[in-house]
Formats: sequence, C-alpha cells, structure tokens
Amino acid sequence: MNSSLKITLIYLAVGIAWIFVSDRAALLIFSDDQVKLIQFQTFKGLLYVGLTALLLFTLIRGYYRTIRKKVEELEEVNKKLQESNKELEQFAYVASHDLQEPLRMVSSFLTQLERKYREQLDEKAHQYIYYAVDGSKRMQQMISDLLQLSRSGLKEEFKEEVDLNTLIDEFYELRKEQLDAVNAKFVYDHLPVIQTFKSPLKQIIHNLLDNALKYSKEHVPPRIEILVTEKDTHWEFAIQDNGIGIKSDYFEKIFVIFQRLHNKEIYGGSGLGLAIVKKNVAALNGKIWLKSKPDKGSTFYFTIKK
Amino acid sequence: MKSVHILLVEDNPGDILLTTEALEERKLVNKISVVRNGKEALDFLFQEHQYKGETPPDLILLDINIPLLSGHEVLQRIKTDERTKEIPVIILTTSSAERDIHLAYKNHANCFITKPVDIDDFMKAIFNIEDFWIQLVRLPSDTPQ
Repeated sequence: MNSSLKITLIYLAVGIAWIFVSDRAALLIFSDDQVKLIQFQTFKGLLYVGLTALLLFTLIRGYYRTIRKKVEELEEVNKKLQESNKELEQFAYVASHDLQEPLRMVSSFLTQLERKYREQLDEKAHQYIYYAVDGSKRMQQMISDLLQLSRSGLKEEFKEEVDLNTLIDEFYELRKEQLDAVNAKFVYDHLPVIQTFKSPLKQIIHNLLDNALKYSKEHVPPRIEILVTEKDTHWEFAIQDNGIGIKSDYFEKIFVIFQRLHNKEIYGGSGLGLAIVKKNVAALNGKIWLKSKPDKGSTFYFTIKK
Repeated sequence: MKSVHILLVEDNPGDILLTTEALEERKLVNKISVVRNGKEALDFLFQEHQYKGETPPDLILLDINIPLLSGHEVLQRIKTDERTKEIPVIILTTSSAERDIHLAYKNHANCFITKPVDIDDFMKAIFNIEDFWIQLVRLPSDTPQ
C-alpha cells in the first residue's frame, strides 16, 4: 500500500474511533446536563480541528522540505553535469586541434622528403613513406571526426526554417567531384521546409548521404532516394540506397563509436559517422533504425520531433 | 623586378622551414626575416634592441599562437602605430576559431588564412599569397608618398 493511502486510512480510523468513543464517554459523564454536553462537544471539536491542523502542518512542511532539498540537490547535480559537459567539449576541441599540429608536421615533411629526394630514394623507401603518410592522414581524419562528434548534438538557440532541398543541394556542392565521378543520382520529390535546429539535422543527413555513397556497389552508379513524411508529432525521413547492404546481425553494431565492419583498405573512415548521426538524432528527440539486405541496399530511417 | 622583404612571425620551426622554402621556390621574395615571438616581432618592426638598423618589411606573415605577445596583440600594435600601420598583415595560423577571425579583422588584419593541413594545399596557399600580394597588389612600400 502506498504511504499516502496508509496515512489517510490510519487518520480516518483514529478519527472515527475517537468520535465514537468520546461521544459515548461524554454521554455517560454529562447525561443530565445538555449545556455541559454541548460545551464539551464544542471543546472536543476545537481540540480535534486544532490537532489535525497541527498534524497537517507538520506533514506538509516535512513534505515540502524534502522536495525542496531534492530539487536543490538536482539543480546542483545538473549544474555540475553541465560544467563537466562543457569542459569535456572544450577538452575534445583543444585536444583535437593541438593533436593536428604535430601530425601536420609528420605528413608535411614526409611529403617534402619524397618530393625533394625522389631520385635518391629506392622503391622500399617510397613504400615506407607512403605508409607513414597514409597513417598520419587517417589519424587526421579520426581527429577531425572526433572533433565533429564532440560538437554534435549541440543545438542552436532557436529553431529555424530549414529547406530540406537546400540541405541536399549543399551536399551536392560539397561532394560534386565525387558524385560526378561515380555518376551518382539523387531521387526525391520536392521536399518540405521544416522548423528545426539546422546544424544537427544537416550533420545527420550529410553523414547518411556520405555513407550511402561510400558503401555503394562497384561499377553500379549509386542511386539515393530521399523520402520525408509528416506525422502527428514528428517528421520521418528515409534515405534509401542501392549499395552493398548490411547483414541484420550488425544493425546494432554500426552505431557504436569506432566500430567498423570493413577493412580500412576497402572502405576508409574512422567509424564515427553513424555515432555522430545517432547523437544528433537523440538531440532532436528522434529515433533511428534501418532496413537492409546484403547486396540489395540499405534504408536508414530517422525521426525528429516537430 | 621589385625587391620584396617579408617578415615571418612564427614559432614552430617546422612551419618556418616549410614557409621559407615555399617562398624561396618562386624567387619572388628577396629577403625573408624570421622572428620567433611577439616581442621580437615588435622589436624588429620598431628597430629596437638587436634589430637596430633593420629595414622595415613590405609584408608581414603573422601567426596567432606565438610566445610572449600573442599575434592579436602584435597586430593591434602594428595597426595603431603610424610607423607600421600601412604594412599589410596576413594572418597565417592553424586556428579556424570564429573568435580569432573576427578579432583579427577588428584589429585591421589585411587577410586571415588558416594553414591548410595538407602540404600541397599549404604550398598552394603560400604561392597564392605571393601571386596576390607580390604580383597583383600594389604595396604602399613601392609607392612614393
């Protein structure tokens, strides 16, 4: 039984018992003096009201004190959380920025070495340089993805009108060379203009489009279909490709940070893309899931709250 | 051909080597002076201490994260002093922070360039600086008052 019901029942039981018992007692004592009886009853009533008022006061005060204490504790914890989140983001930013610097030196001077001493170096030396430069380039990519992850999920202060067609156009401009090289095709009807936080949505869509492009089949031009449906409380997006697809065993795994399904030599990347997407979807109070079959392509669905 | 003197304010020895090598490759620059911190930069520009008798540069390449005085402080001094405010200052830094960009232009930087991470892009950036600032632009230093 919950405590509020328990307290009420005890109160009722005690109260009713008290009324009956005291009434009987009063009748016995003041059986022949009606005025005294009424005076006693009045006093009894006042006493009872006074006592219950006191009880009520103590209970409510105690209750509010507990709540206030809890709220204060929560506020404190919340403040600390916000501070540590901020510090973490700051740390990730500084760390990744400062980490780029020495890495830039490594790759720059190895490239200079190769460029200026090309003739004096043998085949093996060129191979060594290649692997060293490749390693530092991959680390650079990883750092910049980590930087993006640390910033993802951050929303602007206000929602704004976002034209989804423009968002796709921006991606097209960004990846024009790559898209034209593989003859990629986007398929979509005129997409709506929606009220939302632009930067997380842009990161979600661009990362998903990047993936659709990256995991395309060899010698098959990528065809990427984008569908947006309006629901009661949210918008639902579907991004469908005709790429290599994913086994359903790996559906959970692909959203895990640094988790990759392929060898780096075949499909590059740091394994952060979908982790970034997931964090942004969560920030927009949405869900993400997928349907996919190996060799048949994948469809990534996600929702964002209106 | 006009003679061009560039002052490079940069503390990272690797970047000094890369920048000077890139500048020398095109043979458009006659003299490159290098200083390693903000204090030396001001001493050089105002010909103080060990830099007495130095000729002022035609162009300044200025990094932001440098010891003693930051690039922002150096820039502010350059652009508020009658003797130096005419000299074009190119901010060349690893920073891409919005704060740095706005602050630099507020202090009258002539342009802001984030050092490209890729070496080929970095070289291209330096060549572009030369094409624009040495070949295309007319500098105050080769124009009689």
